[in-house]
Amino acid sequence: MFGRQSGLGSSSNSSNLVEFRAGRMNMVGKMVHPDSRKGLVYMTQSDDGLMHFCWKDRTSGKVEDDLIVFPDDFEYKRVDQCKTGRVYVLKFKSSTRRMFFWMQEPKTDKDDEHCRRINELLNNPPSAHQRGGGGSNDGDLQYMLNNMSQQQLMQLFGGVGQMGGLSSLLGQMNSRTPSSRNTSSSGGGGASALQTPENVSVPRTPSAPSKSGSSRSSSNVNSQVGEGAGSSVDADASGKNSTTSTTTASESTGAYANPFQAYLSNLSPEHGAGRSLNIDLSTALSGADAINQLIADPERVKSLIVHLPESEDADEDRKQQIKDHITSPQFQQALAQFSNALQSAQLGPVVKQFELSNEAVAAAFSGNLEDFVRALEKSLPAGATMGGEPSASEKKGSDPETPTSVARDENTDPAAEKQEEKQK
Amino acid sequence: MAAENPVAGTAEEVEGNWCLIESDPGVFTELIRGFGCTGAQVEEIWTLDADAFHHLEPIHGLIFLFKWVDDKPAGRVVTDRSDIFFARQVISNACATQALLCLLLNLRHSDIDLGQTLNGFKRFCQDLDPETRGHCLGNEEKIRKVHNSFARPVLFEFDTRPGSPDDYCYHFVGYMPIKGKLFELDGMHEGPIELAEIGQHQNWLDVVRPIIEARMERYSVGEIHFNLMALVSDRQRCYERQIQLLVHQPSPLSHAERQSEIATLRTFVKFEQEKKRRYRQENIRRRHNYLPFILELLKQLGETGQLMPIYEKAKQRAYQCQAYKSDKN
Repeated sequence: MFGRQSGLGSSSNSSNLVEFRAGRMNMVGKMVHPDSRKGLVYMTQSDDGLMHFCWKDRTSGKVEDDLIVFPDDFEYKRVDQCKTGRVYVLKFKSSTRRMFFWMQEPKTDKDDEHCRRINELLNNPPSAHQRGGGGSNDGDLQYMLNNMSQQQLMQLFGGVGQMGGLSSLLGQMNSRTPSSRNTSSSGGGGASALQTPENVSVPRTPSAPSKSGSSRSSSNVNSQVGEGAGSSVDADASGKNSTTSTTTASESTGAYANPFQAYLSNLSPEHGAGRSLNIDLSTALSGADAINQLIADPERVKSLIVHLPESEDADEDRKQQIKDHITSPQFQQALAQFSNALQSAQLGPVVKQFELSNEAVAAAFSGNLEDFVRALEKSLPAGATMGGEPSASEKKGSDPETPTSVARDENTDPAAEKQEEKQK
Repeated sequence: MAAENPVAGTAEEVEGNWCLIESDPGVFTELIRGFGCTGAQVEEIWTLDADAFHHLEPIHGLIFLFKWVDDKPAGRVVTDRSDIFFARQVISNACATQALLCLLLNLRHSDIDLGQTLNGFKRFCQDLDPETRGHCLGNEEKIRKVHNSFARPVLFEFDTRPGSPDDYCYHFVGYMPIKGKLFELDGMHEGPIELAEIGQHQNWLDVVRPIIEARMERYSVGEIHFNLMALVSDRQRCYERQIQLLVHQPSPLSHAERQSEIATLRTFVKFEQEKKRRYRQENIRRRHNYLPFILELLKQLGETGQLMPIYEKAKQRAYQCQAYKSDKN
């Protein structure tokens, strides 16, 4: 998780949130040159809570790049155009500036994980304790016009049939020996039909928690295979589907395929405007401890997974699935929208559809996120979850203990005893 | 919100609602497939240098995206070529689909099969003028539905003045060779813009390169954000074809060299499959209604006493951002 490989040596700073060996590319005017030095890409959090994206020269120990990064300002991704080298780009969203890095880790197996972790940290930093000071202002705007020389390009973006690649630079600065082929992680599954809007997979159970037992308990859901099955079963129980409730609000905007989007698109912008501070929950859900604690409990995993679309891969680990969704940009955006919409006092009617306490609903109507949070912290007895166990929701506020005291081992029923005797 | 949902005018109501979609190569690739077109994909371009491009060829067109409208056409605006498909941009939210269709509907390449919907649309619009074609696109239900299924989440901006839709929408300009000439296809103009001749044995990329480079230069000076994408043939198919050739055809390469080539190509095929899988996953997430999940998650975090700390953290973050932004200004 922290990207430390064996053999990295004692030079690694164990307080780094992520680190991996990677080289840099230098911009000289408009030209981009791969920097053959051994380097380290890492991210840390300073005392003021600000996140830093850094690159240092492993040989000299000097930190040459130290950028302060705020959520949503950057994106870190693999450069697809480059096939043989493992090249990644730090994209600045507000300008055309790009910084390129090439992996120097001998094994490729953690490349994806490192990339994911960087994005996670870029956009969901861990908690800060103090207000931050001003961040660095990346004022210089260079645009990525790649005028690399023929040779440099052949090294970098060597196409099919090209010998050499960036990895050839690793430790061998002068020679142009063939690089070892980049072994990719195992490929994805076979092609499946593109999901047209008509075939969009819907959540597997009715979105609103059912009061009486729904025809499917959460434990059955995961045995369904294929997205088609999911959609058809939903149709049966769709009466309680919160999707229905949101779409009625958005009938005029039949455009959006995503019901939540459709609902939000109908809210008025002025409502609740003038609010000074917009608190976005997605900036604080870093996914590390809080989520891990939840998914350690299989019952919680079950209650959560029913609200997620079915995985393409039937074997996919459910816990990982939950984590992947939570760290995805699509979920984060949805959570950001939710935070915003709630604070604009327009989610009252929607929240009411879900089995939350009156206080929570009231907070939603009044647009107070803090009250909403407080209400969620105290409303439910421990162990009760939404939509999982019908009995729990009905028992809200009362003794949560479910009767388990039926003595099964000792059958004192005389009739049964006689039966048993007969069978002997 | 009005900015994000520019469905104010009645004209747009009649023509149906079009959502803003993300400007992302994955979205565009899936969009094209959603229209029923096979054999094409969209890749992001980082460099225009010939060697880097080489493994992506054949490149059918380039798409230049930027958040600004350039007023003056860079060449002669052509209005007398009925053999070139061109539609005027009538609905700003549809600009991505518009630009892609302008490229696709002018293509005649064996790798690409437009499919029923697009061929039908092309035939339907054959004899219409660009403006009318734009309106037809607005009314084209099938295409609109696919487009909207990629709707980009709309975030509220309470602290900014309501802007025009153009603030949020990239402007798309397509470049492609049509019958020996280089054209710029920009829906904001009256017609396709003829930029240059392409010599018979010339690679059209060599002709377009300096033009795009000059444009990028101009925009970077003005700090205008832009992206460049290429419309290419389905990469996986290309690699698989190459593998087949190596396996079945005589080749000057030695056996070992051939094996090595095949292994490399197989890796590339895996890259593409992984990419497709990722695109599909992103789409599923994009269309998924996360509201129930969010509420369940928040509820559980509340139960385990973790929600308030998260809220506090988010509040800190909001203060920080606010302070940072006001420092900047």
